[in-house]
Amino acid sequence: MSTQPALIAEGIEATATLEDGKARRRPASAVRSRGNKPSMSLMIVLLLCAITVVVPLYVTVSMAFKTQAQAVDGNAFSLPAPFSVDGFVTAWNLTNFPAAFGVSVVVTAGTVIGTVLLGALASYAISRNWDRKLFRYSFFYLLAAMFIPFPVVALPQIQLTGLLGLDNPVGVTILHIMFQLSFSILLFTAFLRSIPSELEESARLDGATTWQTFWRLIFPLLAPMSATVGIFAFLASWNDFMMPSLITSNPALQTLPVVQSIFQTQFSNNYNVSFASYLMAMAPAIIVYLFTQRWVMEGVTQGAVKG
Amino acid sequence: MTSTIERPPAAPAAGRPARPSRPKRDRTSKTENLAGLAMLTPAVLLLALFIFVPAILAFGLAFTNARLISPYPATFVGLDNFVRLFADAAFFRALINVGYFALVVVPLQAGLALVMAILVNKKVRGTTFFRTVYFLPVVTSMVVVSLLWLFMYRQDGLINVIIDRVTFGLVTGPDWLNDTTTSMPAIILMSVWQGVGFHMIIWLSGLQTIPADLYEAADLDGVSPWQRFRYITWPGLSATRSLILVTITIQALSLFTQISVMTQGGPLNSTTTVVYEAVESGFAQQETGYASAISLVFFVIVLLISVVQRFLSREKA
Repeated sequence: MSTQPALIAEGIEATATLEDGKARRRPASAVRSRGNKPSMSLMIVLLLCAITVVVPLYVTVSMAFKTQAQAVDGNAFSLPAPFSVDGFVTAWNLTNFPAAFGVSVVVTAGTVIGTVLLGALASYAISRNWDRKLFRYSFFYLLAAMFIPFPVVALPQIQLTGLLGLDNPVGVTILHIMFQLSFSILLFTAFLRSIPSELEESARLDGATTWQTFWRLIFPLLAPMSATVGIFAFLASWNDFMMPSLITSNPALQTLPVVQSIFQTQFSNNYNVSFASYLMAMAPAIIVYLFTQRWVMEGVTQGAVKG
Repeated sequence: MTSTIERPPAAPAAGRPARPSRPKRDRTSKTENLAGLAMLTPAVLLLALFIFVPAILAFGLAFTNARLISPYPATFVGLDNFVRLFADAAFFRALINVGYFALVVVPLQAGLALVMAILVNKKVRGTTFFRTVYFLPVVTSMVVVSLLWLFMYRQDGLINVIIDRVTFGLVTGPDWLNDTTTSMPAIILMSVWQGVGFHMIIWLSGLQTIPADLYEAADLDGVSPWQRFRYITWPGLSATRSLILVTITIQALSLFTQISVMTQGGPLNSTTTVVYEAVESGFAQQETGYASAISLVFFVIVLLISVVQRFLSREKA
C-alpha cells in the first residue's frame, strides 16, 4: 500500500521482459510524468473518490465489532467500544459460514484453473492454425458465446444441469468456465500474437512435439495473460449470485453470496450480526487482493488487449 | 474489440517470416494437426453443450406453454407468449427501466473509469494506494455491496446522515429505495460505485499499450494536455474502448442481482428489469415458456445493441 511495492513493481517491469525486445515497450506513464508535479486539485479528486470507498468499508468494520446495543445507538461512525466479536460468532453459526466458504473456494478455484487451461489450449491451437478455415471459424464460434448472457439460457440451463446431475457446485463451476471462455480466448489470442513464432520454430527443430512446445515454452510465456484471465475468472466466479442461486438445488451447497442473501432477513435489526457476516464474506477476497495487488495490477496491465 | 476480431490474431501478422511449409514434413504435420484439434475440441464441445444447446432450447420453449413442474407435457402455442408479453405493462416498465439504467450507466461508468485510469496512470505519490482502494469494491461481491448499500440508503441511513451533516440539517434526504423517483438513481449510483474500478483497470491496461515515444514526440512539439488526449490517447485506446463498451452494455442490460437483493423490482415496478421479470415468471410463477419468451426478447435486444455498437465503432475507426 505504501510506495515501496510500486518501486519493486517498476523494477520487475524493467527486468522481466519477453525474449524479444520489440514486443515490449516502456510504459507510457514513465514519460508522461516528467516535470508533471502532482497538482493539488488532482490529489483532492483522487482522495474524494477514495473516501467514498473507504467510508462504507470503515462503517462495515466498525459495526461488525460493536455490541448489539452500540450498533443501534445511531452513531454509525463511532469506533466500537468495547470491541466485541459476538456478531461474528452469531453470524458464523447462523449462516454455517465454513460450508458456504468451502463451496465458494472450490467453485472459484475450479473456475480459474478450468478457464485458464481451456482458454490457453484453444487459443494456442487457433492462433497457430489461423490459416485453416476450421480453426478460424472456431474462433468466431467461441467469441459468439460472448453475446449470449447467462439470463438468456438460464431456464433451459436449469433443466439441462438437472438432467445431467449437475445441479450442484460442479455444474456451477462448469458454467462459470463456459461464460468466461469467450473473453479469455479473446485475451489469449491477442497476447499470442506478440509471441514470435521463431521461438517455437527453434523448439521444433530441437524435436519438441506440439504438446511439449505448449507446456514448456508457450504456457510459461503466457503467464502474465494467464494471471489476467485468472483474476477475471476469480472475480466473476467468487462474486456471482444469479447462477449458483438458480443452478444449485441443495441449499446446503450454496456459495457465499447466495447464503448471504438468504440469511439477510434473519438478521433483522441485529446490525452487528449482519455487518459481521458481510465482513466475513468480503474479507477473504479483500485480504487475498491486498496481498497480491502488485501481481494483480501488473498481470492485468501487462496482459493488455493489443489493438 | 472490433479491431481485435477483425485482425487475424495469429502468425500471419505483418512482417512475420513465412512458417516452414507443411508438405515437407508430412509426418510431423499430421500429429500437429491432431494436437491442434485436441487442444481446440474441449472448448468447442463444452460451449456447444452448455451455451448453444440451451440457447436453442430457450428459443424453442418460448413457443410452448411449458411450466417448471407440470404433469402435462408442454404443447406448442405459437406466438401466444409474445402476444401476452407485449400486453404486459410490467414488461414494458422493465424495458424502460433497463434502457434508462443502460443509458446512464454505460457512459457514466466508462467515462469515470477512463478519467480515473488516466489520473492513476500518472506517477503521483500514492498511485498504488489509489489503484488498490478503487479496486476494493470490485473484489466485494454485488450481493454484499447491495446489502451494505441497503443499510446506507435507509431513511435514517448513512447517506442521509451525511447529507444532513453537510447541509447543517437544511436538506432532508429522501427514502431512497422506497421512492419511485429515487429508487433507480440509487441503484445506478451503487452499481457504478461497485463496477467502476474494474473498468478503470481495463482502461489502464489499454493505456500501457500506447507507445511512450508518441508522448515524447508530443512533449517536444509542446501540445496541450487536451490535444495529447484527443490525438494520442483516445485513438490509441480504440480496441480497449470497443471491449469496454460491449462488456458494460451487456452487464447493464443484464441487471439483476442488485434488484433481487435490494428492491425486488419495487416500489411500483420502478426498478424491475427484463432479467428480473424473466426469473420471476420462470420461478415464482413457474411459467417456463413465458419466461423463455422474455429471455428471447432480451437476447434480441442484446444482439441488436451489440451490432449497432460494432457498426458505430467501425465507422469511427
